[in-house]
Amino acid sequence: MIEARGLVKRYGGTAAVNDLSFTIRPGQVTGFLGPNGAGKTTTMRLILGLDHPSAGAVTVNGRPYAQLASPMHVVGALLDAGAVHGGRTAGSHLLCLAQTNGIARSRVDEVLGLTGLTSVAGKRTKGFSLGMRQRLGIAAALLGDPQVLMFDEPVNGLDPEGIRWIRTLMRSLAAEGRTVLVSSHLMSEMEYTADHLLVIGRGRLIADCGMAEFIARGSGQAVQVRTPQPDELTQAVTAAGGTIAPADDSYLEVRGLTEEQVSDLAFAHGIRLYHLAATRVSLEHAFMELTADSVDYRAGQPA
Amino acid sequence: MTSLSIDTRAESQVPRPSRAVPFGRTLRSEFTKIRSVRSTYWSMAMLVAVSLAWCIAFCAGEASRWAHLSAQDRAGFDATQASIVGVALLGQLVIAVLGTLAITSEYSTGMIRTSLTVMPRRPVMFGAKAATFAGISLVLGFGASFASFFLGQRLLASTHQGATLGQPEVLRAVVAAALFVAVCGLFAFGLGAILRSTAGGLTAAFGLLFLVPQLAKALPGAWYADVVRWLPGGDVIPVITSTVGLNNPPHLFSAWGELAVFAGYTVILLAAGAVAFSRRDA
Repeated sequence: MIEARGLVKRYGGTAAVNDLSFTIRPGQVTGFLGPNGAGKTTTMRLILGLDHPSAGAVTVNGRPYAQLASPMHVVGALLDAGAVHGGRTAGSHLLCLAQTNGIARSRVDEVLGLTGLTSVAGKRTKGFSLGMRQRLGIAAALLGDPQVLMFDEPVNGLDPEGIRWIRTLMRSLAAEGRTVLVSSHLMSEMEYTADHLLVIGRGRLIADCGMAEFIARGSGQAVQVRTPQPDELTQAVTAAGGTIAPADDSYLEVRGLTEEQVSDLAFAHGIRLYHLAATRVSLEHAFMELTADSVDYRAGQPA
Repeated sequence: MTSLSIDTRAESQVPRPSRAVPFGRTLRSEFTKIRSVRSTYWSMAMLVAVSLAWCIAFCAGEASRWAHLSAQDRAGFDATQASIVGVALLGQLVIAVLGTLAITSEYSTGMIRTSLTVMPRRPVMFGAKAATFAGISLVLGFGASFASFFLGQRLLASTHQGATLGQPEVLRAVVAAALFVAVCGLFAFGLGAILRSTAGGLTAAFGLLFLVPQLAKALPGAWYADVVRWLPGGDVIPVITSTVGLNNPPHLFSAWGELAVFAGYTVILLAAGAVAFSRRDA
């Protein structure tokens, strides 16, 4: 359980995190979403006590992180896979971390096996690919067998098999009753992995809700149709209380009515339909809509 | 077909210490850190090598010229100083690099974020790091100093002027040279902790040790005489390595006094470094 109350972090005049309050519960994967520069990493650094908050407080299992004597048994975190000394071997890296918390060398071998790094345990991490570094970071997070796990962009640089492995790992960790917080830019990945979402933009909380609820908050369900009689259909839909707008190609998009209602309406008015399908609003779509006002760095429109 | 879940739970019992002794555990971790990177061994070998190289060049040179030296030169010759002055003179350069890197490499590699995540009690982390480095630099300092002393005396045997540890001031000089090396390393360590940059730490360390004493010489004579004994670098080395006292520049404290002044500055830098390390965002 991670609890933040009125968390604020200012760098100079700008607030990277602004009055953030949330609770991250055990037994589920909480996805942490936000555009670049929204304050995701800063929030994670505040949770881990790497940065001191300008105001507010955050606790892990009821205590400030800095007061934990053996934090690896409570929280496992992967913030930055590059945060290792390249001249040290994978095994020595994990051993020096384990020793600070009194964790036995045998557990180091165990997590090396778990992350598939046993064969490179004696190699210096300088030569590791980004994917191997991610695995090493995850191995470090698992060392203390903690109840709370935090991962910042864990699938960055992983191949499809690695991504699948991470996804399975997150689900397994949550299924064991642990608290899992994972940030990502990859919406499709989050759709597969997360049960709950924490969405921030410009340091402020935008949403703290279940995946389904978040998607529903977007513009909602739409029905795509194609018809040779667009004018008649537009009249019928408008009369029935729905809205209709042209979509891509010759398709029309109906909102406010279900698939069945659109079909019945067309049948009653003798309008032929060539295509009728409900479009599922993706997480990505809902995310873009809800964070549109809070994107710091927007790509320019091509002229 | 891969299995649908990954069992991450510990098979071996992960001990959950009830009576936590974070300092001891962090000390072990810091020792693992310093012995698991190659640069440590390179720097240690370098320190011993430059000390012995100076000793060989100086002592063998004196021995070969001995027959042609005047009586006055022979009387002024300090066999102890000849053998160990290189430990302090060249060793300070190497140990300053090692001391700076001991802390700044954590920042340059980003390792500090991982280190502070697993040990968030920052004063404990800083203390363990400083203590580990202090231990290693003491071993290095004593090793280089005694090795240079014995090698030097062997090379000077033909002059019949060789010193032994039982003679007055000799053991004091050998020990002081070793301590000087260790203090020098911690001086750089403190600066590294304050500046968090390898280049910055080294520039500051060498600037304070070499440049400031040179600048002080531009002061009017009377002021210089008052100031010079309070400088961290400068003429400390001839004073602490000398056994005859003839070579001592005026206006300075005794060997222990000079070493104490240097150690005092080091304590101030370490304290400032500890405060900075504990308060700043990592």
